[in-house]
Amino acid sequence: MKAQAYDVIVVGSGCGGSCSVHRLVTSGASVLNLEYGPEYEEQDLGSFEQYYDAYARLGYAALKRATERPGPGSWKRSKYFVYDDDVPYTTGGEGWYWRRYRGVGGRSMFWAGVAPRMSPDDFREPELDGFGPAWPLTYTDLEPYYDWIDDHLGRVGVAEDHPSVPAGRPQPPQGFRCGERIVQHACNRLRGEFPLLRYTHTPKMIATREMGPGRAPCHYLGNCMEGCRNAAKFEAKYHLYPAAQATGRLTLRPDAVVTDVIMDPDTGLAAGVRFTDRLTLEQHEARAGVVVLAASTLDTPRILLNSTSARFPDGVANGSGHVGQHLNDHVQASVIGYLPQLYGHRTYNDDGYTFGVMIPRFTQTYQRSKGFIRGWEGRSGSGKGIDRQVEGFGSRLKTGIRDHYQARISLLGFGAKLDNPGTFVELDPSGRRDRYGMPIARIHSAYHDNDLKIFEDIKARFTDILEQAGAEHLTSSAAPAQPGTSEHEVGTCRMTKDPKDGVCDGFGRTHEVSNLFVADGSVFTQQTDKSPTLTIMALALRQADFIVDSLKRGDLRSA
Amino acid sequence: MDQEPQDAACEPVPAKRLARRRVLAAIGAVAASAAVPISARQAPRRPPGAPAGVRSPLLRPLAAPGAPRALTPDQLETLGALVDTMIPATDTPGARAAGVHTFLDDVASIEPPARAELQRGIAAADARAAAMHGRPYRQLATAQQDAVMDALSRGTPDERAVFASLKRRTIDAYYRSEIGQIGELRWVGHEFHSAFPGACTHADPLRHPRARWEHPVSGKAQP
Repeated sequence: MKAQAYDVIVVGSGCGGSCSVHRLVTSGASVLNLEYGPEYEEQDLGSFEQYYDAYARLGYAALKRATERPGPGSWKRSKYFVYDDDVPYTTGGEGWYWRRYRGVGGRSMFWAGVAPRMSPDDFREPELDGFGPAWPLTYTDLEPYYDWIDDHLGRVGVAEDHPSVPAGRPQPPQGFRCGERIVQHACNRLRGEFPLLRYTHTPKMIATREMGPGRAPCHYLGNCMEGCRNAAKFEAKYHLYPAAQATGRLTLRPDAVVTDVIMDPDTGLAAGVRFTDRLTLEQHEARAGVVVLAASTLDTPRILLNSTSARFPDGVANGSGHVGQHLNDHVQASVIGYLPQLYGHRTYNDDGYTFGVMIPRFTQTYQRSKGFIRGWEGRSGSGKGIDRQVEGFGSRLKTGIRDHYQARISLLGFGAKLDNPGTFVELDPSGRRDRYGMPIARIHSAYHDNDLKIFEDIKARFTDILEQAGAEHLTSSAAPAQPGTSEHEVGTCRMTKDPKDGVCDGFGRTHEVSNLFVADGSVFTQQTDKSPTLTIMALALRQADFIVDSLKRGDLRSA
Repeated sequence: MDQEPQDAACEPVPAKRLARRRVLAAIGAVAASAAVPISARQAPRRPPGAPAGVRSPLLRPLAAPGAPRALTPDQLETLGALVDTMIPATDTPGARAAGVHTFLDDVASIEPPARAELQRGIAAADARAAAMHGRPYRQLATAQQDAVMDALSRGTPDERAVFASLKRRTIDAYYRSEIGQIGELRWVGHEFHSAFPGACTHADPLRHPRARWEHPVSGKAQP
């Protein structure tokens, strides 16, 4: 192989890309890291600007664009959001709400930090229930990488294993709020019916201990989703990039929109990537011995499908036809209520430590009798509720809303969607391109019957729990949230043992091109009830070790 | 699972007290690290000398009074009266003082459907006011406005829709204003804590006492 400028090009800097970059450069490889968005500016993270200040600053029109769909839902994050009218996409079926935040650190900057490990059974489940292909790796393969994350990046949680959620090596979690404690008691009383039901601390990628320079333990200061300037929550910009850049082996290139993989026609290997500068629209090429795509579950397949040549007429690594297929996120349902025990309670700070409570999947024992497979996991939090069911008007309404403000309790469930042929991403058949020269995406989605049964089960169980707790003024989702809302999309370049069934092997290496890897949620063989982020990170670390070993042995060859 | 300490009621523990408790616990050790680990870049600003939880009393309205943008002056005046009937001044200012009507006028200037909806509401209220008291809503006494609002809330389907829309829009705007969020609800989410604020230490939360507390603005016990 001729000399390359870099050992590895990593496309994307989110949870997968940042882990890949960090592990590669700290292991001695030289890396070019291309990121679509800009560097996040510190003052945009963890903003405490309230609506009234934002309104005074921006005016109603700008605020509306930032807070209403298809916007990001928060003006604080809107600066890094890719709007549909800026970079369009089309949808089919149930539609898709594509939440695109772009910047160095990717979506790790704007997440709640919920990070349960997948359980050994999650990896085995397809073999147990016979639906879909098996994962080409086991929990044991990933455990050392889960452990590394716990030890080096910090994660809180309970110390005891739950059958669905291995504990790992967590730091101590925070206490429950009053409303959460009340609902925990209610869940304990329901254990006769549901032995596995726990209302417990969420495994969150938040440090409650000192983790060294540049980071502070959680200060409960502001909603995790708006970014954490303390760097108590995992954010790649603060947790991984400083150390990666200190090696001197990382070249970080923000504002680089990768359009396709450059293939060597002689060897059939990846030779590099082409990218467009987001600001100048100039086109560039970069070359390396290995290419890692971590551009997101919806953009990685787009890049592969746009990389066509005589040898790969349907896109690189797509000989099996699976690139872009098997897209899945979570089916979401919520139930919210108000606890009369807390009416009139004084206001406390409940903005920090978002989603501090998790209800691990507890339906294993009866799922088949309910007529569905797989399961769901819940989150909960309390406080800060404007109760719109307070009746009347005038001082009665006003006093009622104040009285109920701390009494709100919310339960939010995430169910594993099952693969179905109606849910996939492709290049829009119109051939339309965005301003960077990329064919726009068309995202199709449909519900599997199983998804809708899970949706109903979430609502029914949450209602049981809140009724047991004595809550009133219950409200619940009328229909599943629009696909994409959970931001937990996975599966478009799935890992399979058999190259005919998927795109990548157990290391996220494409079956067809031995030096082309995928390191984001695309590689998930199937969706589970877990938030995928932690597993994306662990898979990327494991893959990076594999790449380093292969580079040392010099055995990255065409399949 | 975590233990339930037999402790006092559910009250937020001030950062200062907790830090001190932690320092006392670390006898003989260099306890500074157990105290509040603040890095300068993350602490939100609070006016010097102001205690936690108390903000400047000068809470601004959401939208300052000004010339109407979408509504006529009479319509804006009526809307001001309507939102103030919905959320009146109590021990904290009401929706009119919070600028809810001028905010809604701004919304109406940008969203034509909102404008039509608000104008329908204003017309319906004036029609009821004329039928009941022979004058437009804005010219009625407070008790008469309450009676008209009550009539709207149980009136024809159209009137009930008007009531629901006014209620929703008033609630949305009022609790997003500084007066509503900080003054009325006492939101403190921007405060910096060294330990978990609001962690429940109550022995039996299912028999949680209805905690009485004094509203910082009025000094009255709530509720």
